[in-house]
Formats: sequence, C-alpha cells, structure tokens
Amino acid sequence: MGKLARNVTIVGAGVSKFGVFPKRSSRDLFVDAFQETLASVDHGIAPNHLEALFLGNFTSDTFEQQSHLGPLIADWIGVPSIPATRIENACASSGAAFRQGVMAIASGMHDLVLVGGVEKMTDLPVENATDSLAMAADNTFEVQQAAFTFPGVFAIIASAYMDRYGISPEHLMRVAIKNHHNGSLNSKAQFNRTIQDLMEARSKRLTERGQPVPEWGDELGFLQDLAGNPLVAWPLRLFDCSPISDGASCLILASEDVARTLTDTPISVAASAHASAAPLADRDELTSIPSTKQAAQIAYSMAGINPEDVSLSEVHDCFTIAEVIASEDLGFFPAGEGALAVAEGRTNRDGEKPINTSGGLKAKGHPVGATGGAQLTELWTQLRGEAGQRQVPTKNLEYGLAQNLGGSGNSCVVTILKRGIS
Amino acid sequence: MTQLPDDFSVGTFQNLLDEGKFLGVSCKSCEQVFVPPRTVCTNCQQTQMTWKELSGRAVLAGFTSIYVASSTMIKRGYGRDNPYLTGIVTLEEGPRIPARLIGLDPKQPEKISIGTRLEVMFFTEQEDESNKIVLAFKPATS
Repeated sequence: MGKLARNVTIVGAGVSKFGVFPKRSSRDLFVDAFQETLASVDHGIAPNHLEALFLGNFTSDTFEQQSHLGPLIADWIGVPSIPATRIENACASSGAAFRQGVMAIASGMHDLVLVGGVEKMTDLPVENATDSLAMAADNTFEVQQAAFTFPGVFAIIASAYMDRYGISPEHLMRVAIKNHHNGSLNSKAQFNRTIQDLMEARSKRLTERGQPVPEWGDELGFLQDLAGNPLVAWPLRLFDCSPISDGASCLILASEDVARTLTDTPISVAASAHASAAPLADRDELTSIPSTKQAAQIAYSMAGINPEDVSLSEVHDCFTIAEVIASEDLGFFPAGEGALAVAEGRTNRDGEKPINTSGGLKAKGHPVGATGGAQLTELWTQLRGEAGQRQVPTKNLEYGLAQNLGGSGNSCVVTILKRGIS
Repeated sequence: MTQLPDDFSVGTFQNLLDEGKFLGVSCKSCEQVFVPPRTVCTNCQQTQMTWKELSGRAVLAGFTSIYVASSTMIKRGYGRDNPYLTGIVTLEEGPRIPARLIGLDPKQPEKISIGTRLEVMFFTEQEDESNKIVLAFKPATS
C-alpha cells in the first residue's frame, strides 16, 4: 500500500468566489472555478483534451434537489461526453474526488483529469441547511436519538478538550481571529475582512441606530460579547463556526509527460491518503480524530517526510476546535498544545507553521463539497509563489499539506503536494 | 433475556427502548460490549453476539447545549430561547453512546462537569406526536 505507480502533477487550479450568491447554481459556480483553472495553466490547455471528471459534492440532493451532478457539470463546462462521477464523502468530498483523479492517472488509465467540487448551500433556510449538514453524522443514533447538530458534534469534542487540557473558549477564538486575518487578504473569501473590520462595522451600525457601543477593547473582547457572537452550541459560538456558503473548486491533474508540455512550474502529488473512523462515541478518545492520525501517518510515509518538513498546511477548520485538534493529529504540535500554539502566533502566516493562509473554512467559506479542492488550490498557489499579498514569506516552500475532514472525522483525506516533479 | 431474538438490529434496539429496556450485546469470542447492538465485532471481526444487560449507570464524557436547533427540534419548541443538552456518555460496561441529557440546566452549561455520574432514563418529547422514546441520561440519584 501507499505508492503511486506513476507521478501525478497538478498543472492548473482555481476557485470561484465563495459566498452567498442567490442567482448562481452549482453549474454556474463550477464554471467560474473551471475558467480560472484553465487560465492558470502556464502554456494553455484545450478543454477537449480532458479525459475524465471526478466531482466532489455532498448533498446537492437536498440543497438543490439535484442528484447525478457529474454529467450535468461536464456538459456545462463543454465536455459532455467524458466520464463524470460525483464523489460523496460529506465535507471531504472533493479531497476524495482529488484522490480518485490521482489514482486514475497513477494507474495509467488517464493522462489528463479534471477534479474539484461544488456546493450550493444558501438557498435553504438555516434550519434546513442544519438538517442537511446533520446528514453527515449518524442519523439514527446521533441525530434522531441524541438530537446532535453538526456544530453540536464539534461542541461535544470541544467540551472534552477544554476539560482535558484546561483551555478556555477564548483560546478557540484566537483561531477565528487568525483565519479572518488571512481571509482579509484573499479576494475569493466569503469573509474578506478581519474581526477588527467586523467590529468597526458593528460599532458604526450601532452608532447610526443611536444605540450604545460596548467597550470591546480588542478583537478578543469583541468575540467575548454574546450580543455579537451568540452561542450556537456551547461552548462554540457563531465565530467558532464556518459559514454556510456557495462555491466551487477545480484542479487539473496530469501525468508527468503531459505535465511537462503544459507547465513550467509543476506541483506534484507527493502523497494521497484517506482513512475512515467510527462515529464519535465509538472512538478511543473524543479529543483526537483517529482518521486524521491514520491518514497523516500514511501520507508522511508515502512522501518520505516528517511533520517538521511541512512548509504550510490547509486544515479542516469547520469549527475552531477542529483546527486545533488537526494541528495536533498531524504532528505539528503535541496533544493539548495546539490551542497555545495559535495564541503564540506560531500558526500565523509568518509563523513557523503557517495554517490556513487562505482564511480556512472559517473565513474563506465552507461550500462543503468544494472545500478539499479549495485547500489544494491554495497550496498549489502558495507553492508556486503566486499567492500575492497572502504569500507565505518563507523562502523555498517545499511541501504543503491539506487535511480534509468528512463528518466528525468519519472520513479524512490527507494530501501532500511538493514543488517540482517528484 | 432468553426470549429475545438474536436480531441485533436498529429496529430491535428501538423496540427495547420503547419497552423501557436498555440492552447491548457482547461478543461471544472476545467479550467486547457494544451499545447499540450490532452483529459484527469490530474488535475481533467475529459474528457471534449475545444480549448483555446494562446497569444504566454512566459518566458524562462530553456535552453541549444546543441553541441553533434542527427543524425537528424547533418544532418541539427548542432553539435560541430554549436550548437543550445532549452529549456522549461512557457506560459502566465500557462503551460510549450519544444521548440526550435531562435534569441539568441547558442555560448554565459551564456549571456541568465532565465525569458527572448519570443514570439512564427513557425520554419522550411532550411535543412529539410520534411518542418515540429516546435514550437519555439524568444525574444519578444514588
């Protein structure tokens, strides 16, 4: 297990704008991402050379009453006859779709494959979107019996983590502050604003209405105010949760020979790993995600590297606690120290271990089926040195790691990208 | 116990709850206990299970108070002004299980401690027309 029979290279990548777009369907969003992806290929590419599509999508069935999305999207991007398959692993759908594309090329079956993901979530009222997201949990026992919501699942994890390691909700708020800061530098982000920006906007609104403006002091003080940051599922508040979003992501994978004709700056797949885990209650501990640990172990072995070799990472911060735990399960920090590392700035863009330079799910947005592909697009862009104002300042970035979680970690895909052809 | 059929299904578990009975299974090969019941042992992959009586005693492993509820729970009257508690409990016999938490204050979750001793109860929502019984735990009386 764990070797690619052929090298796989990413020759193009793009994302749509993430946000709330009442008039844009899955198809429109994916076309946006696709066009940016085509334009990103150094020497250009003819779409009719694409041989297959693997599309991540969680539940267009409930969000748009549309199943069988693969062929529809293939048609909309102008290649209606290629094999097009929708891949569903909840929020890890496009991480898993990417992996299908990697295997399709590594096997020799294809030389040029389109992968990505899309989710159109904002047409439903919040309670129905909450219902749809809860379908990623164990419906019989977690949802119907115990009335878990998705924020509730991660809130339970957070309660156990806070108890075990003695951290406070304020530690988690630091994750949101960091990721909003990164998101403010990403024009594609749903929240292209810092917490400071949001605080000033709220202050202005209150003043205009003639209402008193609280003495928040700093960004942390603002997030501590329940009026602006209400509880969703204790201890998690609004700003601990990624938003409900519309968006799409897209990447083009190529075999080594084809890649050499398409790009001057190839980024290759050093590792692609996928692991599963039982629902939360059936795990050895609540404060770690076993599928992340397992996928990471396989990925590091496949790439022949250690956690300290990772230059930057995009991790699945569907909730602030999830980023903290991911940073531990991926081996960046010891168990119980992930939250402290955030507070010390070690995961900032200019820190020793930059995490979620894109803004993460928290600020960039979380159109669930698109998220894994968007993480990889960010790594691809950073490794090529093309991230503009949010470019990681470290020179010689070599390895980027993406951790894409499905459900409460029932699925986890870990991908490691490397500069050059490996 | 002996009159129970060897059908370790979701339906059987719900039927038992409806009768106010809380049972798991144990693997005849390795004695691993599973709640809810299942047929295949994830510890040793054997498929010979037997019913296992449970004490109903547990401790709290993790919990939350939910303020943004699902559409079903909103219909039952829960939400921003009326949050509810749910979580995961560790049974005396070892397994953990998701369950509603009753008899603790959902508006003061910071006063609830992990490790709180609990006992099983069979809970029915007053607003729920189906009268379905769900698994719940409340603070232990003894």
